[in-house]
Amino acid sequence: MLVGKGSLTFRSFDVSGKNATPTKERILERLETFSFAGIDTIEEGSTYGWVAPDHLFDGDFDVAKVFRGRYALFAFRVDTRRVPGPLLQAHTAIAWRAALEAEGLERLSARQKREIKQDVKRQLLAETPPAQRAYGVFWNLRGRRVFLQNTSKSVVEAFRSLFERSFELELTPRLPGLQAAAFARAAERLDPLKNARPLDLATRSAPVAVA
Amino acid sequence: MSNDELAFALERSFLAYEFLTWLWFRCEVEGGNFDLDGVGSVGVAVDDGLSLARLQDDELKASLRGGNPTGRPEAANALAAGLLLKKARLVVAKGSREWSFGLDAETLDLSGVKVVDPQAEEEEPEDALADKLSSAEELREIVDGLFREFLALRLDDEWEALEVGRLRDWVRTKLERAWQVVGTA
Repeated sequence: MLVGKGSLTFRSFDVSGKNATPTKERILERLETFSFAGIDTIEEGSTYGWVAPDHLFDGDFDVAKVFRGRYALFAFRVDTRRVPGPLLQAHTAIAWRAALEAEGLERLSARQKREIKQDVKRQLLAETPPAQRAYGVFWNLRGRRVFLQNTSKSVVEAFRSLFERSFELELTPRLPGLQAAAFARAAERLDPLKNARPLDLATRSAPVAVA
Repeated sequence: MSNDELAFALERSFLAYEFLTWLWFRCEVEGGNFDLDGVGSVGVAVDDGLSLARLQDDELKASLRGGNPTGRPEAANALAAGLLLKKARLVVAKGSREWSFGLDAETLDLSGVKVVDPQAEEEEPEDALADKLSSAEELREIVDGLFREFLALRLDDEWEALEVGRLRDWVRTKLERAWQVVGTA
């Protein structure tokens, strides 16, 4: 099970937009439409999509599996295929030398070098297995809150973008500055927030600097 | 949300460093009991894995782990040098439930959340997974409630008039105790 496994680390989001609590049928339909569809073997980079909550290869979105209590459960799968730089450099150097020997040349033009490097990269990409990851997502439908079991910037941004496209809803992360602004607006304390300066607790009697 | 509104909000992220430091102060000076609107009564303790930093100065930082780090002279020294709490492992209790987790002031993300609930274990919940997720969400609500409690005070006149002075007194007292400990060592 990808959702709720082990001790939890997560980022929280508020869900807003028209119909922010979609029906079960719509959620299943959108998960299916934006499900993980595999990674291209030719291009370098990452591919994203939804998988069902059981495991990395679970593409079966059904009511019994996805809906548990007040939550919709699924996972955000990210496959990344990248050729390590040193590996590409080494194989390119070997290919350049082979080309020089085969052609009986003393040096290769910039264009020849570039083309050989591209061929090598294509070949290595086809041989490099992708890194496969999936991060649990739990969505409190009535509470309009979504939780992603990852906090890295790149994963969070990619997740947010896919979620917003999939469900045509807006996700706002519960970051401290945004929470403070929302609180100040509701409490009519925007001026104090605007004028707030960072707290300075430094005392002149601190014995040594901390490093 | 417009870009200006977003920039305005993100520039106030330093408030979460102050929040964690204030939480530590309240736990040490007033015992860590909070009665939160919409949440109820909770107990909080700053436990371990302290990471202190100075805002907009990544060079100056301190990390303290194990052996009651909140009471160590290094912690007092770091506070007195102007560092604020950036990350810590906290314990929160509500009813029969107790959570242990990491809290990061940069994002207020919760990490490594573990929950112990002897009462729920006895009752064997119908759906253990839904119960675990619900418990994680409840913790998020508690942390948000604590942050709102802090903001209500931080954006009030009482902050400058009273609370900042109390925080400074706390740091001075900790520092004096630290000198005594170091002096007797």
